[in-house]
Amino acid sequence: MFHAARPASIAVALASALVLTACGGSGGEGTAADARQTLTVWAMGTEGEKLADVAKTYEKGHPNVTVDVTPIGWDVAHQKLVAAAAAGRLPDVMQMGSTYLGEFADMGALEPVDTQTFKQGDFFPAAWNQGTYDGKPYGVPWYVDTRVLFYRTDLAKKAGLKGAPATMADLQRAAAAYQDKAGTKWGLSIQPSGLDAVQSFYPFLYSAGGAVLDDTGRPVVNSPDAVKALENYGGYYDKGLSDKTFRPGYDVTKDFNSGAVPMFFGGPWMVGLLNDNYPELKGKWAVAAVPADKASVSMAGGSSLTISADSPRKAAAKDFIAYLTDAKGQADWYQRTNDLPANTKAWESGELATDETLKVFRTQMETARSLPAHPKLTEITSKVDEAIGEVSQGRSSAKEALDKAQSAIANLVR
Amino acid sequence: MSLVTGLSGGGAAAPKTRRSGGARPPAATARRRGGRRPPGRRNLQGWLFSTPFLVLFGVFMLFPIVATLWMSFTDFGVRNVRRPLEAEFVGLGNYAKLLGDETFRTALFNTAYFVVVGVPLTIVLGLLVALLLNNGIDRARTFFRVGFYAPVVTSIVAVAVVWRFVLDPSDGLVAGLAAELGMKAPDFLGSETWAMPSLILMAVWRNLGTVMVLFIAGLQAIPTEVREAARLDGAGAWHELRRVTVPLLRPTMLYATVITTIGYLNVFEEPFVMTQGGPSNATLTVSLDMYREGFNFFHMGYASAMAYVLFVVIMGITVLQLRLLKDNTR
Amino acid sequence: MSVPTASIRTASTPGGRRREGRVRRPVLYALASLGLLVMAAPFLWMALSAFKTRQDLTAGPPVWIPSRWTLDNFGELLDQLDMPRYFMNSLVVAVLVTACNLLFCSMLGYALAKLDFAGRSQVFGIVLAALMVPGNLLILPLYVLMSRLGLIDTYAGLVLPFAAGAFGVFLMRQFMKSVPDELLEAARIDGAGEWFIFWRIVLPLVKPALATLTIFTFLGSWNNFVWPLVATNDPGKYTLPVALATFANDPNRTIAGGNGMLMAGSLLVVLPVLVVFVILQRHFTQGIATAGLK
Repeated sequence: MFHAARPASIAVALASALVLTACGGSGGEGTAADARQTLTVWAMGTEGEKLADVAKTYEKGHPNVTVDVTPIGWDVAHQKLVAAAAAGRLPDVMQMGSTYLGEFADMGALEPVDTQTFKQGDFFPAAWNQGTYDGKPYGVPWYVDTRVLFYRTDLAKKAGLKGAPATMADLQRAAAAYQDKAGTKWGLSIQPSGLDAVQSFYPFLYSAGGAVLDDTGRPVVNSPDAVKALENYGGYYDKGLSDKTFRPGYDVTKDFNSGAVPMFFGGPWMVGLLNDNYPELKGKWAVAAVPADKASVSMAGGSSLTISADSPRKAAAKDFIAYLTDAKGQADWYQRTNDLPANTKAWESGELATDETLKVFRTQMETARSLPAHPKLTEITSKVDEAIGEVSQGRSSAKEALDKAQSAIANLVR
Repeated sequence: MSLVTGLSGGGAAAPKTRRSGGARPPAATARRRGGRRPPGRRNLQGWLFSTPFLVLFGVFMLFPIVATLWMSFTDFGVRNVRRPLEAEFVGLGNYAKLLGDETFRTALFNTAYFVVVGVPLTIVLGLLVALLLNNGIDRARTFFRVGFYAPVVTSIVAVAVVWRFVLDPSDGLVAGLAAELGMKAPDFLGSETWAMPSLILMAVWRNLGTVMVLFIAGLQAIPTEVREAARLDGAGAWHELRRVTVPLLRPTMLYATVITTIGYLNVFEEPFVMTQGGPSNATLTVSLDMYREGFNFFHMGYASAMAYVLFVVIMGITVLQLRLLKDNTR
Repeated sequence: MSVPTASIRTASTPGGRRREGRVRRPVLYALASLGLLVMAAPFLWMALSAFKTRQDLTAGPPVWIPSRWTLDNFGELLDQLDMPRYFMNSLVVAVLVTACNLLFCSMLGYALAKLDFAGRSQVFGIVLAALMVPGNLLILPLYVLMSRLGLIDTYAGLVLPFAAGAFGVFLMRQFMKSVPDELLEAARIDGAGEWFIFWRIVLPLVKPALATLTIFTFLGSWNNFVWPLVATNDPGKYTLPVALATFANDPNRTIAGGNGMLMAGSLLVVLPVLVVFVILQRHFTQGIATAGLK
C-alpha cells in the first residue's frame, strides 16, 4: 500500500535540507533605536487591541519607528508562538504569560532583560520573579494580577456575618453560615479538578506557608504546610460547601449574582465584569484580602514583555518596552485597560492610590507569590491539579495525593 | 438483488454521446471488447487523473507526515523547537512507554467506547432522518433540511452553553423533566458513569446533519423507478428499505461509516469543551490525551507516537470496514 | 424513460395510493418537527443571543427570547474588527479551496472508481492514509515548511494544503462507483476521450455528490481555524474564525454564559455556510435518471 513512499523520500530529504539549513541566520546587533524601522509586536486579546492605540502615541514621539501590533487570542497564543519560534519568525516584542515564558527562555528564543534599563526594585517582587528563568530575567513585568476574596455583603448580613472572614477557619465558618442561614446553594466556589485547579488552591497553599517549588526550585509540595492546606481545601467538598463537579468555562459571576455562590477568589478583571454585567449588584458585594492562615498570601499572575533573541531591532524594542513599563506608561495603561500596573511607582497617584478596592489588590500583591519561570511549568502544576482532583473527589487523602505529586514533580525538575 | 442489476440496465439506456468531431483515430486494432483502451494508455490516463492530488499531497503532506514520524522516535521537546536536529533518538522508546501508560490505556478504552456506541447510532439515525426528509416529507423540505443540518454549523461555544444547560443536574432541562416525573436525574457530566454517554449523545447530535446530507445525496442515486417497481411488487416499507434502499446505498453507507468512524476515533471537541476529560479521566480520549502531551506539555515525540498508534488503529478498522462492507474494487 | 423523475414521483406518492400513507403523513411531520426542535435549538439560542443585552446574556436561568432586542453586539463587533476584510479573506480562501477540491477530488475519484490502471490500489491506499493522519500534529512541521517556501501570510499558503482533500476523493470515488459502467463503455465505443467522459458524462451524473462535496468543503474551509491561525501573522490576512478568536477566553471580557460579541460573530460566520447549503441542497432532488437524460 505504501509503495509510493520510496520516490517520495527524496522529496522529503530535499525539503528537510531546505528547512533545516535556513535556521539561525538572523540576529546580530542590528538597527539603532532611532533608525527607520518597523517593530513587530504580538499581544493577547484586549491587550493587543489597546496596545495598538498606545503604539500610535508612541509613534508620534518616535517618527522613525512604526509599531505593528498583532492581537492574538489567548487560547491560541501558545501554539502560534511555538510555530513562529520553530520557523525563526518570532516578532520583535511579545507579551508572554507567566506559564510559558520559561519554555521560550529555555529554547533560547528570548533576549535577557537589560538590567541597566529595567530595575528589579521598580516592580512587585512576584512579578519580576515570574519573568526570571534560571536566575536570569527574560521578561519585563507589564501588568500583574492576584486573587482576592469576593463576597456578597448583603447575604453576609442575612447569614449573621460581620465583615470579611479574617482567617481560613473563619472562611469555612462563613461558607457554612451562608449556606445554612442565607440559604445559598454553595458556600465558596473553588475549582475541584481539571486544568489549572491549582490556581484556586494557591491562596490556601501560600497562606498556609506551603509552596510547589521552593526558592531554589526544588519541589516541596508535600510539606506538612501544603498537606494541611489541601486538607482544608478538600474539607469544602467533604462538607458540601463547594461543588465537586468541574465545569470547563464555568462562569462564577453568574452564580455570584444569583446568590448561588456567595464567595469566590477572583482577579482584578472580575471587578470590571461584575460592574459591567451586574450593575444592580453594586453595593452588595466587596473584596477582601485572602483570609490568613500563617499569613495572608495570594498568588501572583500577569504578563511580561519579552524581546526575541533573533530580533535585529532590539534597541528600539527595548525603548518601546521602557515606554510601556515606566510609571507614566503604566498609569496610562491602567486607564485604558484596568490592568494592574506591575511598576509599583504607578500606584502612587490617581485612582490607583485612592480606590478602596484597588488598595486590597495592591496590598495583596506586595506579599503575593509566584512560581519562577520553568519550561515545564504547565506540566508541574498539572500534577498539583491531579492531586486536587483526587482529594476533591474523595479518592485519596491530601497526604497521599501530594506525595504522589511530589515524586512526579521531582522527576520533572530533576 | 436483481434490482441492483436493474439499475445498471436502466441507466445504460439513455446516453446520446456525441462523437468528438472525428478527431480520434479509429485505433480499432488496439481496441478490445467493450471499448477498452490499451493498458499503456489506461495507465497513463489513470495517473494523469491522479496527478493533481498526488502532487499536492507530496508537497504539503508528505514532509509533515515524515517529520512527525521521525519525531515519534525521538524525545522531541521544547528545546528542540529551534534546534530540531538535536532531538535525541530514542528508537521505540516512546512506543514502549505508551504500552505502560495507564492514562493512555484509559484513553484508548474511552475512545473505543465512544466509537462502538456512537458510530452505529449516528449512522442509523442519520439514515432514518434522511429517509424521513427525503420520502416522508414533501412540504417545507428545505426548511427541515436546514434545521437538521444546523448543529453542524453552530459554533461550539453556543453548543456547549446550551448542552450544559440541558444537562445541568440542578436546574437543567433533563433534571427538570425528571423532577416532573418524580425522578432524580444524575449529574450527567459530573458522574463517571454518565459523562461518556452524555458526550456520545452530543456527538451524535452534532454529526447527524453530515450523515443525513450524505444519505440524502445517496438516495438521489437510486432511480425512483427501482423503488416504484419494488412497491408495485407489493413490498412493504421495511422490505423496501432492507432489500432495495440499503443495498443500493452501500457506497454511501461505506463512506459515511468510514468518515464517522475516523471522526469519532479523533474525537476531541466534545470532551474538550464539556469535561476536559473528567471526571477522573472518564471522558479522556486519545486525541485529548495527545493534545495535552503535545501542546500543553510539549512532549512532541511522545504525542507523535500516540498519533501513529492511533493511525494504525484507524487504518486497521477502516480496512476491516472496507472488507466487511464489501468494497468491491479492492 | 423520457418522463422526468420528478413527475413520476408526483404522479405516484402524494396521491395516497397506499392507504397507510394518509395515516402516516401527519405522524411523520410531527416526528420531523420534534426532531427539528431538538436539532436546531442551540442554533436558535446562538442566533437569539446575538441580539441580547449583557443582562440577558448573563441571566440565570438562561433567557431564550431577548427581553430587549439590541444590535449593540454587531455594532461593537464591526467597530473592533475589520469584518468586511476578514469576510473577504474567508470567502476567497473558501471559494478557491472548494473549486480546487471539486476539480481535483472528482478527477482522482473518477480514476479510482472507473479507470483500471496499474497502481490504482496504491493510490487509493495513499488517499486512505491521508484520511487518517491526525492533522493537529502536522501543523508544526507544515508551518516550518510553508515558512521556508515563503507562503506564510499568502492566500496560496491558506489554500494549497487543503486544495485536494482525501475526504473529497473518497466521497467522489464512492458516488462515481454507482455510475453504471455500461454508460462509459458505450461512450468509449463511440470514441469519446476519457476527459470527455469524465467531464460531460460522469460529472453531470453525480451532481448530488458534487453538491455534497461543495457543502462539506466550503464549510470545512470556512470554519477552518488552526491552520489559518498559525499561517497568518498579518492581521490583514486573518480569516473570520481567526479574527473572532481574539475575543475568546479573554479574561477581561469573557462571560462564559455567552459573550454577545462572540455570538454575533458566530452568527455572521455561519450565515454564508447556510446560504451555500440552502442553494445546493436543491440539487439533492435531481435523480440520476433525470440527469442522465440531458
